[in-house]
Amino acid sequence: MSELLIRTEDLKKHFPLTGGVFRKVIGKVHAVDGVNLEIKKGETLGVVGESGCGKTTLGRTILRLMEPTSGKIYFDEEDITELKGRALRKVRFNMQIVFQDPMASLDPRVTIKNSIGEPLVVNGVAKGRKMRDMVLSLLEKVGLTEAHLNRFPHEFSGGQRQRICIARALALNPKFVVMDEPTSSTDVSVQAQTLNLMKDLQEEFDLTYMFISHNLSVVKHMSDSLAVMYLGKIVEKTPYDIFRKSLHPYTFALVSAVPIPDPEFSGRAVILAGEVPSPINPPPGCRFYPRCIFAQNVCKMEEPPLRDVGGGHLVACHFAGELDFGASAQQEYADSFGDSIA
Amino acid sequence: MKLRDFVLRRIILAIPVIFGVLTITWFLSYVVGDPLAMYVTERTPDAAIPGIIRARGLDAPLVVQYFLYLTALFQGDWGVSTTTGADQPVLTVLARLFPATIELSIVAMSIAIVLGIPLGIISATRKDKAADHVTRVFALIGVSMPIFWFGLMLKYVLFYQLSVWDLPHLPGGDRYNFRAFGSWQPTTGFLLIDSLLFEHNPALFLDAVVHLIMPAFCLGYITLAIITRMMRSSMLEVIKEDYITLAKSKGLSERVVIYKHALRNALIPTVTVIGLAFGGLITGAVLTETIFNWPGLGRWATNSILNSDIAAINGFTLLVAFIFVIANFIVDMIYGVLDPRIRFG
Amino acid sequence: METDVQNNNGNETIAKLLSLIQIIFVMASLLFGGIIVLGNMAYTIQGWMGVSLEVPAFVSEWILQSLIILVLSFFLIRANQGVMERVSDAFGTSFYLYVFLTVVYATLGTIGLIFMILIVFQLLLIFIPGVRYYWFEEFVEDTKPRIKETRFTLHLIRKSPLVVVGILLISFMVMVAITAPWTTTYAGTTMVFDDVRLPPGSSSNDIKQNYEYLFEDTTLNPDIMPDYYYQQLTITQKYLETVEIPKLFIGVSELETGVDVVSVNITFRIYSLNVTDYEDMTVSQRQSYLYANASVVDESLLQYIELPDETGGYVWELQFTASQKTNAWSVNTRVVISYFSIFPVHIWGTDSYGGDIYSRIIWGAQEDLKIALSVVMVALSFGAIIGAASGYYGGKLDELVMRITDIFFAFPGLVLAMAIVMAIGVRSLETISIALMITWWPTYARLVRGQVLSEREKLYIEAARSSGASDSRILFSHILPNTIQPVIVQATMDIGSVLLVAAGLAFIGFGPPVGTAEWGMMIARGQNYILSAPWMTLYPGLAILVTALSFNLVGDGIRDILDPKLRRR
Repeated sequence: MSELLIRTEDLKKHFPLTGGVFRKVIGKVHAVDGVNLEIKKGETLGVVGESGCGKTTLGRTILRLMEPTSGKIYFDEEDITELKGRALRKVRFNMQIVFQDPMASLDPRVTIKNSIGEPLVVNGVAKGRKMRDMVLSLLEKVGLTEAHLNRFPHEFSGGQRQRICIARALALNPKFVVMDEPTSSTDVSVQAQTLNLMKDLQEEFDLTYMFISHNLSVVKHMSDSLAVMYLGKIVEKTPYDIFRKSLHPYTFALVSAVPIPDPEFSGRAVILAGEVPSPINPPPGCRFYPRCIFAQNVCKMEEPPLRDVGGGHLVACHFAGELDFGASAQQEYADSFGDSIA
Repeated sequence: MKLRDFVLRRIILAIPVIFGVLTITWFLSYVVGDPLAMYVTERTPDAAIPGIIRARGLDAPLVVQYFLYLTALFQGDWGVSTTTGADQPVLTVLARLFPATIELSIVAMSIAIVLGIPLGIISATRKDKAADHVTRVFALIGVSMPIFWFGLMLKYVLFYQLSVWDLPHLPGGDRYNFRAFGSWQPTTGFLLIDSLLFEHNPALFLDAVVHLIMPAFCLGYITLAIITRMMRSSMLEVIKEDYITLAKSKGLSERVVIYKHALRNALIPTVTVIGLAFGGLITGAVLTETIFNWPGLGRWATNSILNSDIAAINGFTLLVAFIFVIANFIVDMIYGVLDPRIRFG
Repeated sequence: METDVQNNNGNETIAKLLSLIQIIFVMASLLFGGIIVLGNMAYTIQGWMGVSLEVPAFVSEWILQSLIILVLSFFLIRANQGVMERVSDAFGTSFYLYVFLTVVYATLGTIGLIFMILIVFQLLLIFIPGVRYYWFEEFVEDTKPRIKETRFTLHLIRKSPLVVVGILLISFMVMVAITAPWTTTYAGTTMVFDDVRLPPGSSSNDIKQNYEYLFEDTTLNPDIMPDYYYQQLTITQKYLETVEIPKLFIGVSELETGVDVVSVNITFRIYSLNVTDYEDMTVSQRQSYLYANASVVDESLLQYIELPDETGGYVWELQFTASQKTNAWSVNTRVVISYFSIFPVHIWGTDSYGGDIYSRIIWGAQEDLKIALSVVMVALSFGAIIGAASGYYGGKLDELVMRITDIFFAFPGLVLAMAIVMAIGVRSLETISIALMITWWPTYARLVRGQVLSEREKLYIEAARSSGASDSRILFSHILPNTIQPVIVQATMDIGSVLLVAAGLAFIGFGPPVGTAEWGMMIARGQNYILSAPWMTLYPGLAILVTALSFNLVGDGIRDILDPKLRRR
């Protein structure tokens, strides 16, 4: 079970930025800038970060929905970075994605049956009646019925649509599914339902998830390990509960920004100063130093590597483990969360 | 993108368009048609024809002919037109007739703008009421009406029927009453300007205005319909925006909201349409001038078609295309200034 | 159920056979259509080059035929999608290749008939139980939600009165165009030189001469000719005829009585022979069987007699009285009596060549609708293919296409079309159509490209790609169906605009030199007589206005109906 399913090596995705009279490339957006990731079979990796930090781009690049600028992607120890055409489609059999907006990710003119059945048809798995039966069994797994088979997406509620998207992602029986903020557009009750469904399905189909979200509590609920992204880089990756143990100042800032529904709670959030720097010109050295309250000279000069501080806990900070966020404060957060989530 | 870059880029994009226009007219007259007809008329002696062929390089390969054609164009040699009676260089004829057409188009455009924008506003603010339906049908009829037919019908009612009943009527054609005023010396070529500034003849000015009314309204009606429709839809779009709701909730009166807040934003797409419609006006002028016997480019173009005068048609097409390119360019500029988002497109 | 399982292999074979037959059909029809199209184009080009070839009339209808095919193939493709998809890769070829080929050829070709046969063939196959099991039920299941959506659209259309009016007007115009041979008195090109510029409602002077009766004047003495004096000529003749046409038009169309006719009086009586023999009747009896009595006085030498719808024998009695101030009767006083089965009244008047305006407008509906529809269809198909490719693949191709359309957009439509017609040098309606097709395609290329560009970025496209769909599948079954609506709106309204521009071109003088019935040319013919004969201009202009308006009404209305904000309930 501890085999690696997905591995990336220094994965980069830059978007060109044009300007001027002749539309020359005058810069690039460093959406994903050197990411090394490992995802084990059967595990759920949560990816968190602010909007625009590159988490969605990372997910799509791993699935080869976007061409990486450089770096390598391995699926099951097979290099899929250069695959094209038929071979790429074969790999896609095993890798699927569920998008953030379920309404937009379903073709409004195609019935649910054909939407879910499309992967089956185009990959030659099943056609006609067989396809229909397979789609029906998938629908029943996500809690919908035969009556829903021949309807159009606009006839469904948000939660139902997201379940349809999940059914479509599972149609080819993949090994790896990227969940790109799957619950951000639904309300809380539906959210919990969907999350539990995902967990059940993971056990049933033996799936590996990459769970992208900006909602820390959701990620904590879903993931086995967690990666924190900042400006196209992973700053911390931990198998532990980040509410209890976070070593990067950015992670702690994120954790402390989560509102706690407890009037007694007295912990103070670390308010990050300033805006996120532009991904067009990321600051040299540590990318977080302009906003970091612990920043020192070395942070400005040198980029901290992602290093293991023990037990598979990776941190990209020169002072990992040496910083004092206030241990009691951290404990208090963790306790409050324990109450509110469980 | 900076405004300077935006302007530069538009200019650079216009260059291939202009060359494309030149190439298409060349292709039409040299490859599809007969290039000799550009330079030879009925009055050319037969003996001179081989000389013309050699001088124009019409026996040369097509590529060479293309460059000779371009050179001739840039030197102002646009061929010889026979339509006006004598053999005249196309460019001279164009320069002489151009002001009359422009004068007509500008007056038509003014009528369209002055009537079209208020109509659009009325229609949008009274959506789904009687006034709206009437305006919409009025506008739809405008875009569905053949302009040449409309002109003839106007002429029949406002000129012929009124004169039959001895009522005051509009003149049925021409630019001014030639019998009453004789010929005039064009300085700018715009009769409205020349009559006042150079001829010092207010009576001639009034006569010119009276002669303009019918053709200008006929020509302006389609544009009027287009402007009304555009104004209505963009106004409806703007009224739905949040900032209009905000302005209303501030307690501003309906009038202020519509004329100070909504109108300004709704005008942006209308301005574009107005610019593009200017090219359409020149097309419409071809038909209108024929009907009202207006001595402009359009009537000349129609006559040259009947005379199979290829040089004239070629020159007319080129001129109109240039006007169109310039109009589009100006529209782009205005749009770029009014709506900075477009510069990134 | 057991038999089903056993039959499964057999069904696969049947389905494969079915699709093989289908492919053969498609291929054969493409080939056949291609040959006909090339032949027709050759004819057209030969026509331009001045080579005269006798072409059967149906051959020159290729544009109209191609429209039928386009529509038919569209429905067929939609209907067949399920079947073909299930079996196509048995032959290792993408179904959409066929679709693409079909669309390309269909815009030009004439394969509608074969597609019809194919549809009938497939409908018959439904009754074979094995095949029926294989796909019919599924076909029904697939079609149901689509029908539901269509019914919702129809419901919205019903709620919008302007669209309903527009659709009714369009159907009316199409019906008028189709039924032209049965609703017109004259052909579109007929010129009746006796009927020049008759006002609306006047009857024709040109009567089909079915019977001719000569009255030889024998009673007058040519020697009595001192001076002008009045004379009277009375002839009474009886004829026994068997008339089988229930509606009679009877009149005197030609009267050669000498110099100045002052007055002519003709009494015409007709008796039925069905009751009793004419010879045995007394005068009073005759009167009682009198069916009709027509008196023709002075200049209006025409009368209409309507007989009851009975076949049988009739007797005509004609009394001809002419009063004349003359010095001599000519030797031959000739009176021609004729009858006509339909009353030739020019309800909308005639034009300067004696053409009946009403008939010409109805025939003109055929010509104008043909031009407008074919221009929009061809420009739409061509522009959509170019625009879709340019939008979907982007890059250099996109840049090139955009620059080319820029150049086309630098000309106002009418002026470019003028230059093209002028360059081709042949004045005909086909030339006008071709010029307008060349002028119009960039509009659709731009529109479709813009739509495809915005659609391409949608999430569901990415979802389809991640599920392994090929480019052609994404383009044809996801992007194009979702971009088609604004294109349909634009095309509907463009039918009106094309109509106007085509009429304008014909008005300027690009139409064929002799009398084809086309609305723009009719107005052009009328413009010189606008003061004396305004009806020559009024009615064709109204026809253009109503037709263009109906298309604009529908386009304007369905724009609102297809608005997605409104549709999502």
